Amino acid sequence: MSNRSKRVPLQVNAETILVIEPDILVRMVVADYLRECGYKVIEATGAEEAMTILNAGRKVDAVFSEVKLHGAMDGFRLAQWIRANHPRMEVILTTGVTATADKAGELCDEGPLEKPYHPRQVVRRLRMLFERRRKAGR
Amino acid sequence: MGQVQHTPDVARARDGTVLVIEDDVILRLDTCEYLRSKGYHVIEAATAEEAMAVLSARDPVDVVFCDVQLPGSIGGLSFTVWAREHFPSMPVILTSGNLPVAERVVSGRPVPFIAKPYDPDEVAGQIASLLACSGQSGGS
Repeated sequence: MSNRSKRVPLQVNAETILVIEPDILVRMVVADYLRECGYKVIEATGAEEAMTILNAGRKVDAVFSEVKLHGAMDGFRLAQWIRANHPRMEVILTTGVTATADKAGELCDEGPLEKPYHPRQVVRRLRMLFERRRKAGR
Repeated sequence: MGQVQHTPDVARARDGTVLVIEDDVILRLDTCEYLRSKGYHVIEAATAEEAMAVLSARDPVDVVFCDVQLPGSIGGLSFTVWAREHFPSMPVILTSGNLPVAERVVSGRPVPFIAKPYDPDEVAGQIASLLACSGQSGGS
């Protein structure tokens, strides 16, 4: 029997979250948790896939991205690209490396989410960002 | 990459867990969303290596839906050989835009096959049939 029924979402969320994480075992858990909390989740393994999704015009309200990504573009550069091309999109960066966490703080309003994290911390951060957006009338 | 804190058992939906292996992110996204809308719990993998990491970390999934042409050193046919060796009762459905009928056989056994481009409803139907054969209910 599934243990999903034990994770009752506190609310049904309509927002779409783009999760960018190269480690499938991490991505799978975070994405499942966010779906169980009512979010629509799009999964990407790296910046290239994320840009393909965004360039295809898929609706995304927030991006949750690992800083250390495979390929030519890391999470910092992706966040800068999103700021330039999708300024209304919320971005949360995550990393397990303290030095990069400091740098990530410049690209995230609330600073990066440091690993290891519990997925519920991601949900808290998302709710805070969306609540702020609602209050600002954006 | 660090670790996320979680319990290792990934939730299994009532209607079965499907592992989709597809490197085209838009096709993967649309296929997985459709299967979720049918009630399946879906795990997304972009490569065979990712799929093998998932299967090595948890119980077998109920069905695998796998592209034949994948980036990396392991393609869909080689993955199917590995899957049948390690999880003999776990069905694998292959998909491709150009796989000759003669090559739709792995380890001497035919592999269910769906040609690209496909209607996701065809994928859902094939999965439901396989789950029905194995005694599960399948999606809605």
